[in-house]
Order: sequence, then structure tokens, then C-alpha cells
Amino acid sequence: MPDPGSRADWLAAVAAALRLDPETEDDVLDELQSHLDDSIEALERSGRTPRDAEREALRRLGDPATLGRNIRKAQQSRKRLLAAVGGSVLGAADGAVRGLVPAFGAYIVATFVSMIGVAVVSSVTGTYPSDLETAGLIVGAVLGVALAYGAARAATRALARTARRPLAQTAATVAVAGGLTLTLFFFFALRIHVTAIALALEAAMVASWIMGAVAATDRITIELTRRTQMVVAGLIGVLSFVAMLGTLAPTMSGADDPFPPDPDLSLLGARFPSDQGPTGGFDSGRGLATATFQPPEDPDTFEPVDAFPSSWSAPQLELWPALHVATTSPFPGDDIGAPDPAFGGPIRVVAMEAGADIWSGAIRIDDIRGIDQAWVVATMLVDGERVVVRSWSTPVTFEGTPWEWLQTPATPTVVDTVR
Amino acid sequence: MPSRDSLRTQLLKGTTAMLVLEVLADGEAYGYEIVQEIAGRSDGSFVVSEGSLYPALHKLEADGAVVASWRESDRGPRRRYYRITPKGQGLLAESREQWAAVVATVGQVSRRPADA
Repeated sequence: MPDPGSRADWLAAVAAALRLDPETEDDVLDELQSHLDDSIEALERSGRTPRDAEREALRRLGDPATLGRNIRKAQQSRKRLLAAVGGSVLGAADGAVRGLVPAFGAYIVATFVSMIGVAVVSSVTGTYPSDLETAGLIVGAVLGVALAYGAARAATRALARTARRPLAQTAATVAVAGGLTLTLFFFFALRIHVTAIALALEAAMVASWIMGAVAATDRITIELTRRTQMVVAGLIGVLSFVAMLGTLAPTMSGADDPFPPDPDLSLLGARFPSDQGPTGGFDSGRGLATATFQPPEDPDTFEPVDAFPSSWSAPQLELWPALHVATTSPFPGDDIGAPDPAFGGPIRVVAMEAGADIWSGAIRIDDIRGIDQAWVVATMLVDGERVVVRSWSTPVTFEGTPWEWLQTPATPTVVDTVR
Repeated sequence: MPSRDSLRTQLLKGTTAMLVLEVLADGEAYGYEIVQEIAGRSDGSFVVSEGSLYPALHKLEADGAVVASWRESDRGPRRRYYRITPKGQGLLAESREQWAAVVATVGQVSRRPADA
């Protein structure tokens, strides 16, 4: 007979074959543990070494998978009875909670801990805050790849333990739907920053969720030994750290800047519709681009900059030595921070003017590292109070070049303010 | 020709549940204790496969022949004690009758003409 392996592995193999509700499964494993304790103790008293005693005790209990299957079969009549009285539904709900809550809890905690870790690294190295956000998202997504599998498998297995197979299928669907929701979040959060990495992680997460759910429905089975789990966990940790460093490295070293200085890049105008985020016209010498640096689909069209109400008196655009670059939305309720005179940010105001109804300006960008993560925040002083300009109006399409638009009066639109 | 041990094992198959009930008829016991008791009563001739004991116990429990309860142990982890139920008593009585019938039948078959 082959070596039964360690006691922990043997019990894990029994558990894998049991597929009972969690409570019954725990009872069976406890009972076998108790049996092994007694058996090993008796064998040691008879002169066996501890290792030999354990091996012999496991051998006497036989193949763990067979034992697990036979105990499961022995429970069949009980399961049918419980299913008849709705026990399977209760067991399913209980199992789903037991499986999903710890998995998602661990995921959320791990992600936040990772982001805090990144924040610590960022504060120590004095790195750019926007890179911190990206790094945190990447760490979360990398962790999500591993946890998605576990969460999907745990939830689906919990339901598969019950007598009714359709519940397992439902659980698989729910698990995959949850996974897709999670992955969509990361998709939208990450694609702004690092499209290639985001897509790779997204693909891995989706595959992970599907594999977890499918594995739990017994179509495929991926059993990992404890050692393999540790190796996988180590690789995930290393991958997370490398991903984090890979994101921060350009900022820390100053090398490999993906956005080299471009003195010809000037902001011609910007607007902040609530549904699109800041947009604006840039003349980069290579064509037009918006503030989010996504070229307009039609190069002949351009969206006008914002306007402020004519009811305002004495509006005055602020001329900052450096515009604050926020990592969060400039919309109401978000803390966009105050302009930091010491911040040598990449965007510098060259000139801005306020007319009776519209404002316009030109911002020179000397160093646009990380500009794809920046929000361009336009502020002005109105009657001595600083306000952030944004618009709820429907975007207006302007036919013509950005410069022509800047010189064209626009109808005032309602704007919102943040004081 | 099967060996003596192999033949005994084959004969034991199907009797595990009955042997378990026989032990439990004298009082509640836990799994390991049941194995030892069966081995002791048969002077070591019958050694119930430990791998088949627990499926048998769980089947008996699912059928209502025994009930189980957890009890703390003085020497280690908690133990699961099994106790025979009235239904189990009836099942045991029925099993005894069937076993007696089997023994009698086998005896008739194996009896030589000269013994008759």
C-alpha cells in the first residue's frame, strides 16, 4: 500500500471527497481526528515510533478518498430528507455565507492592507500620489485573481454539498456574476492608467472566477497541496510587489518616463461635464487631444470650455504658479485639495483670461509624467471666494478649431460651485 | 483459493453493521472503542476494517438505528458516542435471525452425507 502521507494531507483528501454541508463535514473530520489520536496512541504504546504509528493508523483507515465517498453515500438518505424539508436551502444559504464572506472579507482586507503598504512606500520614497492609486489598484487586481478562484469555488462547493444540483449551478452563476462585477470595477479603474496590465489582469480574473465555479461543479478539479498553495501564495505576493514597484519605479528613478516633456503642449480650454470628467482642448503640435488625453473621434469637432453665470460679479481666474493636480474627482463632495505652492506639478498656467460670459486660458505643460492620471482643476475667485468651475450642461459641439472656439462668445450655462 | 484471512474478511463483509449494533447493544461507545471491542470479543479473529466502520456508523445513524452525541474526553479531543435506538434494537434482532438462518443453511449445505 502506498504511503498515506501526512495526517493533514490525509484529512484534506477525506474532506475533498466528503462534499457534505460544513457542519457535518466538520463533525466527520473531528471524529476521524479523534480516532487517529486513539489509534496512534495505542500503536505508540506497542513500541512504534510516532511517525510509524501515524502511518499505520492512517493505513488502517484506508484510502481517504474512498472513505470520504463512502461516508458521503451513507449520508444520502439524510440529505434527501433534509432537502425535502428545505434543509438544503438553509444549508445552501449558510454555506454560501460561510464560503463567500470569508473570501470576500479576506480579499477586501488584503487589498486595503496592500494599498496601505503602497502608501507607506510612497510616503517614504516621496513618490507621486497618482502612481499610488494605480499601484493600489494593481495590487488589488492581482490579489483578486487568486481570491476570485477561491471565492467562486467556496460558494459553489457550499451549495453543491446539498442534494439539489440546480442550486450548485445557480451558485456558479452568481459567483461568476459577482466576479464579473468585481472585474468590471477594476477594468474601469485601471484602464485609465495602464491598459495593457489592466487587460491582462482582467482576463486572469475572469478566467479565475470561471475556473473556480466550474471546478466546484466537478467538471474539472484543481486540488492544490499545502506546499503548492504556499508556492502560489508566494508567487502572488512577489507578483504584487513587482507590479507595485513596476508602477512606482519610473517615478522613483525618473527613468523611462513614458511622457517626456513636451514644451509645445498647451491647454486651449477645458470643461468638466459631470458624466465625462474633465475634457479640454490641447494643441500638442501633433493634433488635438482632450484633457484625458484621448483624441476626439472627429478631429474637426471640439467641445467648448465651460462658462460661468453672468450673475457672478467680479469673476477672476486665478493664476497659479502650478496647478494642483488632484487624484480624485473635482466634483462636489470630493476633496480636491488646495493649490500647493510648493508642488512643482507638471501643469503651469501661462495665461488665463475671464470675459463677461466665458473663461479661457492656456496652460503650458512642461512635464506631463502621469498626466493621464491627473484632473485639471479650474478655479477662480468670485467676489473674493474661490470656486471650482464645473458644468452640468449638455456638451455643446463646436464646429471649428479650438482656437476659433476660444475666440467665439458662448451662451452662458448653469454651473455648479464648490466653496 | 483465498487465504484464511481473506476468507474471513469476505465473510465479515456485510456483517459490520450487525457487529456494531451488537457492541452498542451493551452500551454506547465511540468508533475506536467499537473496533477494539469487536476485536476483543472475537479474540482478535474479527478485525473490522476501520475504513468501513465509519461509513457503516453513519449509515446506521442516517437510518435511525443509532444516535450520536459529542462528549468531551479527559484525554484529548471530543469523541462521538453512538447509542442504539429502539429501531436499531429491532434491526439487530432481525439481523441475528438472518444470521442464524444463514449459519443453519450453510451448515446444511456443508454437512456430509455421513454426518446425516
